[in-house]
Amino acid sequence: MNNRIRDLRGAQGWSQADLAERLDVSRQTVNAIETGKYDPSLPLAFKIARLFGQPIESIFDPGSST
Amino acid sequence: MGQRVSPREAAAAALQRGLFRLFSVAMPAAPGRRLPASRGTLGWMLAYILALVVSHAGLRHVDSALPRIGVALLPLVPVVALVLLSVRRVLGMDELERRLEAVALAVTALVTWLALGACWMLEHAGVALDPARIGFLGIPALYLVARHGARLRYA
Repeated sequence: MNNRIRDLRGAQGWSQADLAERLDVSRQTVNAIETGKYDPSLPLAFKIARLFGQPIESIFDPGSST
Repeated sequence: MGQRVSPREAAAAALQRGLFRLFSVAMPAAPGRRLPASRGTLGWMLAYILALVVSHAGLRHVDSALPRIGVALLPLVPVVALVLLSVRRVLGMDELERRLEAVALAVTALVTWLALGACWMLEHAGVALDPARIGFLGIPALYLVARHGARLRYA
């Protein structure tokens, strides 16, 4: 699954560690999600969407798998 | 002014530092930072080693069957504590770390089970093996390798 988290994070000027802290996960988890190695759980995906103030489907693209 | 440290205290401190380092590699912490294992975990690990030593030494001096079983099972007390701490550690992990842990434990459990079967076959074939001893050393090593592999694959 592709996602736009890296772009959204960059737009906020946050590091992976900053985002990890806001999501209460590890920096490694943020990195794995950004690189498409790991698909987040639904609660975490909603948390990410809420944090960036965007609908979940505008951040995650389920159509194309990695 | 620096205090004088006895060789025994220096050795104990070195052992503690080594164990901290070992567990900070093996046990990732709650939300995602690599943890040094808690002092509680290290304490119970040391208690386990001590219980093994005491049990081993104690068995030489106990003759009757029931007390011998009691002495032999002495290490189970810290084992129970370590299991509880381990469950608490996993519950404190974030979702990716939990996945890595699940993959590592699944690989370790399956390989251990299948390898025991292979050991029995080898024993039938006349190869002298000590599966308990091999497992005692091999299972932690296998877990570390499996966890490293899971990290490479998923993280």
